[in-house]
Amino acid sequence: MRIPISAAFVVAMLLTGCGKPQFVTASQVDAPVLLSRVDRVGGHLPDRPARVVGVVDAEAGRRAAVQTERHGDVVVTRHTAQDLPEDLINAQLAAAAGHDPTIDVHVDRLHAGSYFFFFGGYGVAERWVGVKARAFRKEQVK
Amino acid sequence: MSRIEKIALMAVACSLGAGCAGARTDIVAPAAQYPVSLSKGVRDADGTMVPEERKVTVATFHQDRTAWGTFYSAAKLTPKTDISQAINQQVRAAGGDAVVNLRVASVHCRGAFWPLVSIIPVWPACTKLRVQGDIVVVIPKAPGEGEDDGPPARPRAAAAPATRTPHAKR
Repeated sequence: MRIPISAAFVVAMLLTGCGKPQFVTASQVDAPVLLSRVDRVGGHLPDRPARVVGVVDAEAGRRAAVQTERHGDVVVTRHTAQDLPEDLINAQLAAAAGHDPTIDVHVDRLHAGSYFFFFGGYGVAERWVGVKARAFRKEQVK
Repeated sequence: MSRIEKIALMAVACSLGAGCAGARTDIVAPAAQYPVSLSKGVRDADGTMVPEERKVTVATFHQDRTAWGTFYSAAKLTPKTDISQAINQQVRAAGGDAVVNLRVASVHCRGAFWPLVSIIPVWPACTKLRVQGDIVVVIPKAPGEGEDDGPPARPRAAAAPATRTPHAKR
């Protein structure tokens, strides 16, 4: 039975891990990493930030490439994958915040996306999540 | 290579007969009335860090969204994904004070890998977003509790039943 090369291509892409989600979190960080403008329980809005002490621009993602070739009735697929693990984001945020209880991290941009590109029997799929953030040291914490 | 350069390269490749599709978006929460943190950390109303002992997880925040794009992902049809309303509704319903441990997952839409249709420039493609977090109630400090960030003076088990009232919102 001849397997359509496009079907083999799709199966290969899925087996390469393209169906798995890419996460971002900051679970290893002690300081608040705020997506909201509200920075405290009770609905408080932050005062004008005094001093930026760290900047984070990190991205986690997975890129998978698949190449399919037909040799007679045989379809050969080669796939490679490249990971940027989410631990990198965690580590960068943790480094920016340190263990200083006066530091808040404000997320300027939390972005996510995916794309798929193919040419002939070659295809690349990538998905990513990324964070751009700044760490602020408050001058005074009551 | 920057994101813009990647997209430009893909657009050139696509115009030569290849196919591509994708979507991207920014997740925002500008109108959230509660603190939303990607970490476990959150500040109390007085600005001090809330210790783990005074946080009680009462529900899980969950929101699934789909971001769309076209023209080989160059055009964002969903440039921003605002989760403010979902946060306000779910936290209010749970009687919570904040969302911590926010997790965002990006996953390809099903059907993203069919080569033939993605040749078409205006073919819409999508990215699924899965946003989750822990909705927590912050147990108010015991009267006379210290100004430092240390644990509360009394054990959580004894304090929790009488003190799980959420903070009043402004």
